[in-house]
Amino acid sequence: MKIIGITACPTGIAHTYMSAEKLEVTAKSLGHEAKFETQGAKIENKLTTAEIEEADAIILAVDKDIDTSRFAGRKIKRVSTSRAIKEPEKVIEEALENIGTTEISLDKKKNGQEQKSGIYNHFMNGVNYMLPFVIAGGIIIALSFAFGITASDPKSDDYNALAGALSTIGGGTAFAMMVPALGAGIASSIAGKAGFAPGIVAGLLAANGGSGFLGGMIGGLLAGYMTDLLANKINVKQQLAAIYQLIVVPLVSILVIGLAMVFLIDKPIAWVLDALTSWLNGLGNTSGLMFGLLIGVMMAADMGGPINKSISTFSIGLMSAGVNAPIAACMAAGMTPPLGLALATILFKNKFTKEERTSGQSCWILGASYITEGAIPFAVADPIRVIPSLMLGSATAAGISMAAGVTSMAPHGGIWVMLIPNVMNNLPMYLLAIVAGTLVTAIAVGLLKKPVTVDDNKMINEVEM
Amino acid sequence: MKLVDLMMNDLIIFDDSIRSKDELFEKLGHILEEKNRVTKAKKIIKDLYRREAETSTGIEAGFGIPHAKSKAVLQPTICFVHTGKMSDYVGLDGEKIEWVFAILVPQKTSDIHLEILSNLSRKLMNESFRDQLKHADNGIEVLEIMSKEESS
Repeated sequence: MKIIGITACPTGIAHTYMSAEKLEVTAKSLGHEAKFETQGAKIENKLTTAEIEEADAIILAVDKDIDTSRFAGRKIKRVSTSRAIKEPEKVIEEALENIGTTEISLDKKKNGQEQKSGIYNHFMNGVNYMLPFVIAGGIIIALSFAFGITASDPKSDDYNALAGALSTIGGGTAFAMMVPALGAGIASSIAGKAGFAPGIVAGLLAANGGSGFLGGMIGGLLAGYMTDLLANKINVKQQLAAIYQLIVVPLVSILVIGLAMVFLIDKPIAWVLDALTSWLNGLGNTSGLMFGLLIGVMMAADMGGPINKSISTFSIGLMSAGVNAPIAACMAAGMTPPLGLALATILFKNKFTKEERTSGQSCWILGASYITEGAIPFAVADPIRVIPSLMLGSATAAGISMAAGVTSMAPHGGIWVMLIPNVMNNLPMYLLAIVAGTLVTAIAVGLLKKPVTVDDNKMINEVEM
Repeated sequence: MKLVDLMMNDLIIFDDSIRSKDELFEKLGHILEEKNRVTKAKKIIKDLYRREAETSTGIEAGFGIPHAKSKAVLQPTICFVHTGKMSDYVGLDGEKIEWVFAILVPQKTSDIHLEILSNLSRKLMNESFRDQLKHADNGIEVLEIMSKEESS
């Protein structure tokens, strides 16, 4: 029998080599062939693709997370280094007899973590791609606000070239890349490198088509699974493989996902947008608590998607008719999602990963600046629990704002315009609305979200001692 | 370079009054500071404990290899200590540790040193090498066993 594997421990000095030595010597004394790659201070004794293919059993004696993509489709026996040192015969026997082995699945080529709950990890990968755009873009937009809320507009009196540039960089470019990056991240998590191009195309189509980040999530998933099928599941003759991977896979995947986005997603979205707009136009009564609650729910439902867009466009439209209460409610409802999440990452530390807790702090700036997009990474990571919480908080904020009859002379800007005299007619009530919405959001998120398990950060099947 | 080059006769200790991990680390810290191998005994003791907290470094057949990669270490060093049976330091096989190779590596270190040290980890899996060390009763003997093992 041929037995291969990898050994690795956190310091990479001792247990990596002890377990490799023990497994090799034991395997050989039992009459097997053995080779163990050691991932210590550096990688030594590297396994070749041929060796992996020919192996009868694969043992990973690891105390840290390692890349297992090379073993896609193979069964592996994963143990701690200490167990490999303690009872190597038993580990080898179990590996050969398939006791307690796990299979590294084919389509999730990235690493061992991903075999656990596929979609969640694909979304997380999408979030990782998207997050830099959200954080940097959001803060850069907020910086441009500091010059005055209209300073980035060349037609405005207080136009400032630097503010204009900041707005182009942050809003026009970094934010425009947000949903494409999300699509690319999700698709490449599923299909590997081949998924990047169709994923980014799907995301861009979703952004331009108005379906926002939810469209980008769906597009990224579709693009990923389809490309995975094309690039990794279909076998082509050796002579044609190069041309197939280089031309056929990108062409077909981008064409199919593109058509799907345009006809199956964008069209219905445009229809939803139209329907919502005409429904809002027909509502007539645009004041009071009920309308405030509606504004809140719609603002937070899809953050930049059709529902959000229809209500904010409608409210801006009302401004020209001299009705300035709905836009104030919109702004409050758009500020609470990032603010509430920022608060939740502090109040409920165990419900968020370390990265989320860190990036949560940038949400204070984004939320205060009415940049609702700051909440999107959290929504993507756990849509079913996060989005309803955001809707609840935003409805609270918008409801209070409308019920108190707060009006705003500015359509955007958050804290940057709020504090300018005479922009808001009732600033104390407005601040109360935002604080209340923030609290409700944070508490709802805290109650609904599940604690982050250790497994999400690190997966080791057998850890002893 | 060889393992034996990282060892010194006066860093080979025979002291069967050591009966616990605490006493062992105290002794190691003290002697390493005295011989200018580490900046401060306290720091290196803390670093050894930190590694111990991850998983015990006790191996088997009474051998242990406490180790640390630390800023406090001035040069790569291996200490051999033959102690009494330590009550709170046991190997994977449940045996109380009596023979210790303490491995100290500076934070910024070359791969060569790590290779040498990993080499020691592998050698300790060899029973006859362990038996020879168990029967050594002075520093010179330990050094001889080490260099013989490495030249073979």
